[in-house]
Amino acid sequence: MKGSANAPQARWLVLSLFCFTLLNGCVNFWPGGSLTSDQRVQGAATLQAFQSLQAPLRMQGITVLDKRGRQLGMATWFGQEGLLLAKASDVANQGRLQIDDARGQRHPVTLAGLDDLSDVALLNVQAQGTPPPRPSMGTWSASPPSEGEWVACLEGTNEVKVGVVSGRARRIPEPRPLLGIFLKPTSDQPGAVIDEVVKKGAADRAGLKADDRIVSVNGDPIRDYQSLQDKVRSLEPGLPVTIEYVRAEDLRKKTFPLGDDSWTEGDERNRRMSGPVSSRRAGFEEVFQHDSPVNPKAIGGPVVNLDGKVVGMNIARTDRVTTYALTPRAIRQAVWRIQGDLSN
Amino acid sequence: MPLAIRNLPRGDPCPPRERIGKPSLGVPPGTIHSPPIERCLPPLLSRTRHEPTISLAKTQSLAVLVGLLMAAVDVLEAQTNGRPVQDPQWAWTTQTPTSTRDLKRIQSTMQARLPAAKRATVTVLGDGSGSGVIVSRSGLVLTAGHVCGNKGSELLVIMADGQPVKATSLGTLEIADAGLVQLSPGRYPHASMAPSKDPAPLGTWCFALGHPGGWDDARGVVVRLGRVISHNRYTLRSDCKLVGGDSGGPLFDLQGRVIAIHSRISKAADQNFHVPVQNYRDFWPEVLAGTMALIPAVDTPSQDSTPAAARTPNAR
Repeated sequence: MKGSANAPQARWLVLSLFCFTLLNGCVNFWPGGSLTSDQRVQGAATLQAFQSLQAPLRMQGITVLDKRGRQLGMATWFGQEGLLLAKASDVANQGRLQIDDARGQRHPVTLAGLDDLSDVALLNVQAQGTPPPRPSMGTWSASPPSEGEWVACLEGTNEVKVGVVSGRARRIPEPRPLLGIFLKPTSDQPGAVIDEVVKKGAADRAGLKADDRIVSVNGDPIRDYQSLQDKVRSLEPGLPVTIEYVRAEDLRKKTFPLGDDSWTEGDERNRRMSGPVSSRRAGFEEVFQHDSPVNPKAIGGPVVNLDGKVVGMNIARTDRVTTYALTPRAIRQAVWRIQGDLSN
Repeated sequence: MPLAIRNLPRGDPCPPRERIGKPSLGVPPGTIHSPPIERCLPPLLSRTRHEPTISLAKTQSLAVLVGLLMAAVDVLEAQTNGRPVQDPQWAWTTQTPTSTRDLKRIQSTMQARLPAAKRATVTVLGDGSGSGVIVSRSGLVLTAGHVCGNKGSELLVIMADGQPVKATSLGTLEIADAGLVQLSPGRYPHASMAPSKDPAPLGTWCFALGHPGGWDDARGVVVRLGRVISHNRYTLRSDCKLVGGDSGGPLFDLQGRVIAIHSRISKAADQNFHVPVQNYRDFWPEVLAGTMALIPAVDTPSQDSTPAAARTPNAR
């Protein structure tokens, strides 16, 4: 630097940079940083607004455990007699069951009945000492909540999860059986010829390939693609299916569990991004869906709205954005069916 | 149908659910991490952050010029875009609720906006299935770049009521993952876009619409509620939960205006990526001209972010 000779220019430089910084600061309206996690929907600050709901919700919190005390799901009090309901496919065939009530006391329960149509189990409490507290009657809403309505539910006895009703109430049909193959419309010889195998589908996992000619399913001969379609339609997803097929003049045989369409074919990426989901995600008489992120090990508990009314019972976690809850009507129907079975 | 069988004529105008819900890989994860920028930016956008590192001894006068030039650019930009002017009436929509009353206000305001917002939300079927939102009466649709494909791609759009409409891709702005689609001539229900003078500030309550997993007749459009958790010119993040099939769907503020379009999801369910609508405005001419405008992505997307589209496994 030459000192004084450059001083005015240096001052200009400083001044211009100052102008730039100042003006830049003025027009810089993009907020920096990000919203802290406690301010987000599931954050502690936001959950504070649900304060008045949290205590009554926790009073109803019942977790269902297996005999070793591992959490299988949650349960919901329902109806005048104080029936205890849970998700059937999560609690059936798990051996001896027990529950933890809202005060943390453990009670043995027995499975009194199952309803397959909506996947509901009825539990009988064998109270030890003080019976678990039941919520007062009349807290159930008569109808499903409207779309966009806030809902809250429990994940375990303490954690509250919130969300909104995200889709219209509807029936979720039974999952349909699916082999996971595309067929050629015609074949020179009897049988159905595979055009393409859907990646990670049931047939793909079993090792079937394009150009394999399927000639029998569970021992029944297959004439063409139509008869294969009819045959598969009559089978139960998840159960083993035996397929005989011809590959390069060789007759081969494979037995593998039949797939279903509760995940659309090759929906591998959505499945991966969804984390854990319920094992049974379809076949419910009437559900509404909400976007509260509920762990599949905490399905079966009550869902309440901002008025503190119970509007449903969680019945399945299906993907990253969806939790299904049975509507009051569907629960009533399921209970009627179970009690009808019991009285017969 | 127990098996998906190709007994339908090719080019069937209304595909069965198997095809619509067809899932997919979407744009390979590398697409966002594109190679360095070759093309010059329009001057109004080059808000350079780094200070000029030039030798004082030789180029003071140049530095003065640069400094003033940059300041001038910013002033010009300020005049073009304006500073954010948020209507005080809506200031509450950026605040954290503290009571049931506050929650009910969010709820009832969103519910009032839902019917119109849903009518403007569509399914976009190209190689796979994504979502989109109509923003003009003549049927201009905003979607994600990886949903609509290159300029001229033939698409099928399913309206909220299930009506299929033929559409054409107008092109994409690849690095911002913005895409434009034109519906065949007609009059369409549409949503308005948030004005550039009022972009959604941090904490804005917002709701996401879309078709997660593809079109589902019985379910319809799916809504999710959340907040804006970060926002800069090229990327907006929210904690609205999204999944494959939502790509291209709209994010609305509580005033019922489209503030961004769903683009990618991250592994954490409470941070998903959207394209702010201003990108569509700024680059409309370039997109329509079919020249890709290359903008440096300010937020380098995290490794685990995945395009939120449902696409066929063998597409692209």
